[in-house]
Amino acid sequence: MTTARRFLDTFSDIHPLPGVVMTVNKLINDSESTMKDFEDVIKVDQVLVTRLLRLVNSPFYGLTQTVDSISRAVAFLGMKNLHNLVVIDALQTVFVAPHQTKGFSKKKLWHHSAAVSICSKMVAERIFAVNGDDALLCGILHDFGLLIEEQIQPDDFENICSTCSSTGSLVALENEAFGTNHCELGYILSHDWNMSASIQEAIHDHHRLSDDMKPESLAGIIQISEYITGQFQHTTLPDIKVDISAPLFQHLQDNIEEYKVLIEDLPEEMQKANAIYG
Amino acid sequence: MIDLFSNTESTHARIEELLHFLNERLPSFQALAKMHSGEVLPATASGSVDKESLNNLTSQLEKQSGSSFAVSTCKGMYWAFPVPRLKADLFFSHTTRGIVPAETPTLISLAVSGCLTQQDAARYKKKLSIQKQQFNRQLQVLEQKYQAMQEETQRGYRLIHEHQEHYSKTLQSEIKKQTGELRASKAAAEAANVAKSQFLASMSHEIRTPMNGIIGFTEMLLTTSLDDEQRDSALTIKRSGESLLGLINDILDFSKIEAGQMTLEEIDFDPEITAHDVCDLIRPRISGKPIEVLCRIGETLPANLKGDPGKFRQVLVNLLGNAAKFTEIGELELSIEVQEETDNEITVLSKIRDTGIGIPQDKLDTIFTAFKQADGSTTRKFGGTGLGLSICRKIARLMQGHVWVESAEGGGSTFHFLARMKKSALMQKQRPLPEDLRGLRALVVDDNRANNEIIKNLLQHAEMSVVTLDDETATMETLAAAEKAGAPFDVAIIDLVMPHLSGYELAKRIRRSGLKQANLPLLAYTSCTEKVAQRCNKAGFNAFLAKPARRQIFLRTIAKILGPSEQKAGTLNPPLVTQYSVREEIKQSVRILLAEDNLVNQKLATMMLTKAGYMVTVAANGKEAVDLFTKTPEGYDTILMDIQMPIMDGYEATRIIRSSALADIPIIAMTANAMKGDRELCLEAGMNDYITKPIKRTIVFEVLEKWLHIKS
Repeated sequence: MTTARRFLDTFSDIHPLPGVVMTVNKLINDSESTMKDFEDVIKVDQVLVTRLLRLVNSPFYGLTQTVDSISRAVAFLGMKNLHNLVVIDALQTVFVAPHQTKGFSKKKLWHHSAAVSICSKMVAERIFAVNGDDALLCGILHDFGLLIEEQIQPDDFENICSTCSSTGSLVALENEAFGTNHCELGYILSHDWNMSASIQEAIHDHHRLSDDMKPESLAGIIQISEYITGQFQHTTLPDIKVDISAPLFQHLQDNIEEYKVLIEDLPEEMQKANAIYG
Repeated sequence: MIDLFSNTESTHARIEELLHFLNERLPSFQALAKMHSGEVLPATASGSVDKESLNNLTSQLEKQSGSSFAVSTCKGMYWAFPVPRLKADLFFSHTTRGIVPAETPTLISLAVSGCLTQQDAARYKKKLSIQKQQFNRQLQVLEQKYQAMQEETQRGYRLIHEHQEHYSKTLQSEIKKQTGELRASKAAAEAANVAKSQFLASMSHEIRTPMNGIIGFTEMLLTTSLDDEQRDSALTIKRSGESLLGLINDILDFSKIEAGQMTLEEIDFDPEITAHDVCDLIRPRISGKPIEVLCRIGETLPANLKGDPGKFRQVLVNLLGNAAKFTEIGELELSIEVQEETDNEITVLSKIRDTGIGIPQDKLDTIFTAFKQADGSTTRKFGGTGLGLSICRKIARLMQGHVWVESAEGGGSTFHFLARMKKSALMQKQRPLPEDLRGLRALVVDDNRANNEIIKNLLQHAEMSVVTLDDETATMETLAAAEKAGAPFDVAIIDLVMPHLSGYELAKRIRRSGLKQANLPLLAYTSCTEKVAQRCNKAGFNAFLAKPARRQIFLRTIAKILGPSEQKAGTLNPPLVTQYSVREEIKQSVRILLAEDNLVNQKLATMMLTKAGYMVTVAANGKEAVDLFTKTPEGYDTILMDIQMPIMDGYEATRIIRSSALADIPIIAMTANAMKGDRELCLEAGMNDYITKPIKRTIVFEVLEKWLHIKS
């Protein structure tokens, strides 16, 4: 058994993923499933239904009418959006679990994840004109591996937090201390959760500095968003330098005017998503 | 990390643009900018600028806390103008000699803000166009999402539709399959049921034949001289045989009703006779118990009904038998009355009341369920199959009626039996009784040798000569041979169910034969009780009797079909003689001479007696009665004599009749006086019995039965 697998197994014993998430993960990848199946699964958990409806009605989705049932929510947002919400909802409970490690704040990590996910969605849709739902989900998941490490080996993790200065060195330090890193953990986790292949890949590559990294790839979008949000101090760890692959930096430079406009609109979007990310 | 988004470069560009603008618009001034970082623009001007003055101006600008001002130095006039937005200060000097206009500061200020505004506008325009571009992309994405969602919805609908179609197809084929299975099993069940019924019918027939032998021979045995122990055993055999026969009949009835194969006869019968018959039948069962059996017949009950007397009787026997079984002391009462009468139909209500153990309230209905009795212990104590009441109820239903019970535990029960029957069109007709059968020749055809023995014995008692055949195929030869020998048969008794030739077929052959005996009276004697009357009639039988028939009935029936031949000659299809019609005839052949002076009483009594089935002749006083009787003494079977009459009273008339030769006719006194001593006076005068007025048919029946029986 690999180290990563051991980490994940231990972690899922502590924080088992709610059954409903596993089921909707399966449904979303099943071409035979219908909206009705989706509804039926979610309807079972009425507390979840209430939370989801609150999120669906938040300004982030900007619906013109109030949605009061899951069937309408599916109709308005589609299965993919609702799936994202279910996953976000499940993850949030893990992020808010009280545990303190010096130099590391789960709350800050949550904010970082939220910022990256919102920014990724914006980049995907506003720059590359592609569906940003996967980017949103990927953004929220990309650093989840860190939480696992913090849970399993808190002392080593604290040590890394206090010595790390850049995102590039973070991965190296993790490999040294744990024999794995949060990219790998997140990759396996997303695989276990039946996430799409591009999400798995993007999580795996989100710190990989490469000359053939494509800006429009999901991994590229995540790296760009990490870099942009770093400008706003929405970093994983305090005062950490955000590294970015060279082609992506070139892309940013080439399209600086576009990104400037995007950055100007970012705070407003984050404000809108406040209900979702807390 | 390179600060991609810092504004340093763009600020630089903006100041250069501003300076260019100012130089163009204000050619009489030279403008230069000093950045807060210390850098001076345009770079070309940095050499020509007096650095000292510039520093001096900067420090003065700081003192002025950032607002613009003008200053004169030895080198000329300078104007300073801070632009905090661009993180720079602007300095202007006059390039041409001459008077400096007083509006210079305003001019500069306007020029600077004009340029800045232009720049801002350009910047916003650019931003807006980028935003527009980005929003267009987002819109594109949204459209894609919308498309995807629509596809998703359509796919969902398609899936649901497919599922539905599949489901309905499956359902249809499933229904088809199940219907097929159901049909097959229904057919199988029906076939099994038919097989069961056939089996039961043939079984019971097979069992009944030897049972008849057992019972018949036991009866024969009982007529011989036996010691007490032997007689007791023989009686036990007979009783056991009869109860076994009853059980077989019950089971056969039940299976027939269950199979819907039980149908009802429609023949004329007298319910009154049936009722008395049933009471007679029950009486031996309660011998030894202090129980009285009562029979009450409603005044309006007609003498003839059209229905199934056998089934009617069966229900009454069953209900009264039950009553007898569960009653230890007190009385049993059978009453029959008309509940409703229409032009064609009569609804008859029979009540069977007992003073027995009663039935608990919660069992009042379950006792009518097959194989159920009120209590499991009932079976052990009283026996029975638990089929009787169920059969009764089913027969009642066939008669468009019902059977139910009213009872209180310990307070006796009353069973009600409602049956609807047709009115009879039969008119009362005088039918003289034939006297004896002595010397007549009878042919008995039955494949059952035991039965032949019983009948032979029976007929020989009546001093008839009997030929029995157990091979039915020899019948025609035997008849022909008898004719040749000059000793033709007077009557033939033929079983209906025989191995080679059925009784019907045999009857038809006899009727079609050219023999002189073709019109021979034929009696069908059978153990088959179902709806045979009509077939018998069609086949040419004159009478039919069910095995085993009572000796008296049997002989009466034979006498009847041998009787006056004008009936046979007169009508092609004379009414079939049955055990019921024979009984009725016994009753209906009673001719009563009614001596009564009161016209109202006359009418009343006549009506009642006629309705009850008797033949009535009225005499207005004793004298008339004596005259009528002495004229045709054989024309009357009994005289009902009023006591007080004008011209000649009852006593006198009786004395005259008794003094004549034909004195043995029963004379029954009718009196309104219920005085003590009346009876003695009547008997003294020679009367046989006495009834009080108004007369009741039940009492008349009882008295007549009593006295006519004695007479015969």
